[in-house]
Amino acid sequence: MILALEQILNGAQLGLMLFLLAAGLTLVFGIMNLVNLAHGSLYMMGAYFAVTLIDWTGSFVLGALLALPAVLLLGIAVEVICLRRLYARSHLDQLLATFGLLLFFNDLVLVIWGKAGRTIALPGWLRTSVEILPGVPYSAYRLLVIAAGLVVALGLWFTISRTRIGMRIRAGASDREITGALGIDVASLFSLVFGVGAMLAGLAGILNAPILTVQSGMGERILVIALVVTVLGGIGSVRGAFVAALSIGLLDTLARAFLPDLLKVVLPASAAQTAGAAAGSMIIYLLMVITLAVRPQGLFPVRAR
Amino acid sequence: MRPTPRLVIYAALLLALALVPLAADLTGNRFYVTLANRAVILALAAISLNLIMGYGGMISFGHAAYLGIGGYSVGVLAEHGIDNGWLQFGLAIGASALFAFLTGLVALRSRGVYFIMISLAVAQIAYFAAVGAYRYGGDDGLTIFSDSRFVPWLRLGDSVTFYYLCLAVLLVALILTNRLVNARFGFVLRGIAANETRLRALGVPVFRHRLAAFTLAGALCGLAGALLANFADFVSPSMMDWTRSGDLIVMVVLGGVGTLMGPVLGAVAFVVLEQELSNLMEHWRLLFGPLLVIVVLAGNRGLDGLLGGRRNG
Amino acid sequence: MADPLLQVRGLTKHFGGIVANDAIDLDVHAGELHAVIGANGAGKSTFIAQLGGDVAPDAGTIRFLGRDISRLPVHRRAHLGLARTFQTVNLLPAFSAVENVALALIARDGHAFRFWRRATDDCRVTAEARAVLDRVGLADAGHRPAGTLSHGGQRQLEIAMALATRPRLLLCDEPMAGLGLGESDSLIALLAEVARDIGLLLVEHDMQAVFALARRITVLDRGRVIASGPPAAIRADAEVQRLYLGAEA
Repeated sequence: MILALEQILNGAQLGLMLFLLAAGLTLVFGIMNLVNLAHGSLYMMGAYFAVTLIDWTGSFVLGALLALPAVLLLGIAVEVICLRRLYARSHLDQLLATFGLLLFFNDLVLVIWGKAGRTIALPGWLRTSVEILPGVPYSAYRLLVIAAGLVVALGLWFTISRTRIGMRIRAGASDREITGALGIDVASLFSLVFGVGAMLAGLAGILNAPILTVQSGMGERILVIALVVTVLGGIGSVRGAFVAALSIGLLDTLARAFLPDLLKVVLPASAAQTAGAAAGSMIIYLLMVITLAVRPQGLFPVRAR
Repeated sequence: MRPTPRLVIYAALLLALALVPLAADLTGNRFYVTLANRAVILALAAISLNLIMGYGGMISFGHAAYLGIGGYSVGVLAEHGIDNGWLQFGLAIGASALFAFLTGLVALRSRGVYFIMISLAVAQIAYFAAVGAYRYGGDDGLTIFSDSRFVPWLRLGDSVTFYYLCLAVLLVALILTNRLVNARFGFVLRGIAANETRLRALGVPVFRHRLAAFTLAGALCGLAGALLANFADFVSPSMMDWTRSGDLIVMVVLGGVGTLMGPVLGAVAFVVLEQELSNLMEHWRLLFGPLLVIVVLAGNRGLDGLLGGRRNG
Repeated sequence: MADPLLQVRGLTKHFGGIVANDAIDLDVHAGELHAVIGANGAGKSTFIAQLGGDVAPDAGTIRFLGRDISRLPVHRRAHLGLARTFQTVNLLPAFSAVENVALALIARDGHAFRFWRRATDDCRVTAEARAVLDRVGLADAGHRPAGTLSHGGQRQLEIAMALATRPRLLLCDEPMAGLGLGESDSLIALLAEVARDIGLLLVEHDMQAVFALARRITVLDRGRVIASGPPAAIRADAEVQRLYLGAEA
């Protein structure tokens, strides 16, 4: 039971990180009709920026906060230099070009930061654990990550559903022509949306940096899962991305935590570990295939496409 | 037929590929054969992807899964002491075709991005299945200790023999593809890619034709995977990583989508660029990545497009 | 009178709260040109989409050659002999005119699972394709990519493709849209000739064409049939005049 609670929190944490990635993906997908394989690179760049800025400032909080505008600027730069030329192109062209960006960023970090993976040391006050229930300790930092994820999700929901700029973004996500007709400066709106999406992906990278090893290619596996989330949630739907991200995060974490134990009933221990972990990773993809077989437009379709 | 520059260049390319072992002997650099062999096998996989992507308009982002399935068919049988090539390759082709057929049944009901994503998800399932196959090395992969045996005089362990076998398979695949895309089946397949609604309204059972093409491509890529396993004497889940599928897309587009020789050109260019750029600098993708972006922004007609106006096929 | 080719009864389609087609009844006989008219939003497009098989009806039946086709997929309907042209030109622009028609001829065989012989070496197919192009007045344009034909030429090619499937009934969705005067005249002549042998259901805005061609006219308004009959009766119908003709004339 205690283990289950811990795993549920871990799952929620993964889910919220996935949401941070998927929010940007789904908006860029929905509004600009761009499939962006380099979104995971922005996640990775966020983590690397955090490594360096925490190093420079000597403060975890300051470094992490400074990394955010850094990714925002990087995102806008990538959009202005390259991606905005791809909006009107075929998906194949988009895949190819953003795949090229992904390769570029993977080697770029090797050149700048070196081959060895980097880790971020947490300050003392975050290295503690909190008793979430009597006798159940949980990492304070992970709790902070969950809280941060929730705050951002709430902020994003508020921005999109309650503000002027959010209204424009929604208009764009459901009908690109209308956005143009409303006299909105489409190019700047697109840059802004892309930049913010990049920043959210970067935030996920920053928040995950102290938990994982920061290394080249770290964005690839999570990108694929975030793509699953985006498609499952329905392209262009932030609400769908939230629901799908949390479900996928929980499912993936719980399956990988408990399937090996279940399989130990029928298999030797080491075999159960390997097979169980793999089966756990497989489940979310199976879920996606089945869902799309039944509902080809995802769970919360924004419009027919 | 009058020899066009394109025809001359392609004939020269194939001739050059045929002469690689000779050149390697003369220069004493056996490594050329290895390099060319990798290019030839990847070209076969790229031809298969081009069949559905270039001619059929189905962007599969999980094509490396078939390389893996073909490879593991050889590896798993070898692990159990079965080195009969007919069995191994038969399983490789059959299993890949079946996997493609089942994938197609689900994925081909979707379009556009949804199709891309389902093909990606299915490939991930295959990837994790290999990771979880603890009996066959799991994440670490599986070393193959014996080459496939067909007939006594064909020894796949000999690198030159094996190279010519692969090249022969490539030539046969090119001839078959050329017939296929110009036969009724390919004609209709290209028609579906160009205007699905129209073809359906004319009475074409679109789904069935797409599924057939998808299955055929899976089988061909499974064959490439079986050759790749014999080439490397090793199979591992990383053969099926989604970035490998990305590499295959890169080869097809780099060479020229929907052209007969484009995939061959693309695979050779990919392998050569990889080799040359990585000689030039360790982090060669720093150049290769932007190169892809430029290829796309410059209009994306691939290397075949550089050879002049007409798009064949 | 012989059984109708197409017999539509009570065809109904809702989109959310909107009733796009409300219990439509309509017959088309062989050798008859039946026109469907109505203002924008009257439900013509939904009607055609249901006949073609793009949209599944909520209620009602579509019988074609005596067989209920309400639930058949698009390509099966085409096979039974139901051909159509589209409201916006819908061709394979990169393929030549002959190839466009050849695809239609191949489609008639049901499948194209032939993997070896070159499709365009098939003399029967190319010769027949040229014959069909000749019939619609595109004899000289066979080798040209469809996308390079004039708008009128593309409309003619649409009809050529539909005819190549040897249909029993042809659905034409606004074939005159965007045509110049001379082009419409030749198309009207073509449609009149086509309708001698087979049934033709024409959805059209061009009233001159409709009254020149149609043997029967059905008027839709807000999803419902408000009048149906020979052109003279329609012209005289008070409700039609008030609702439709009056507004335009």
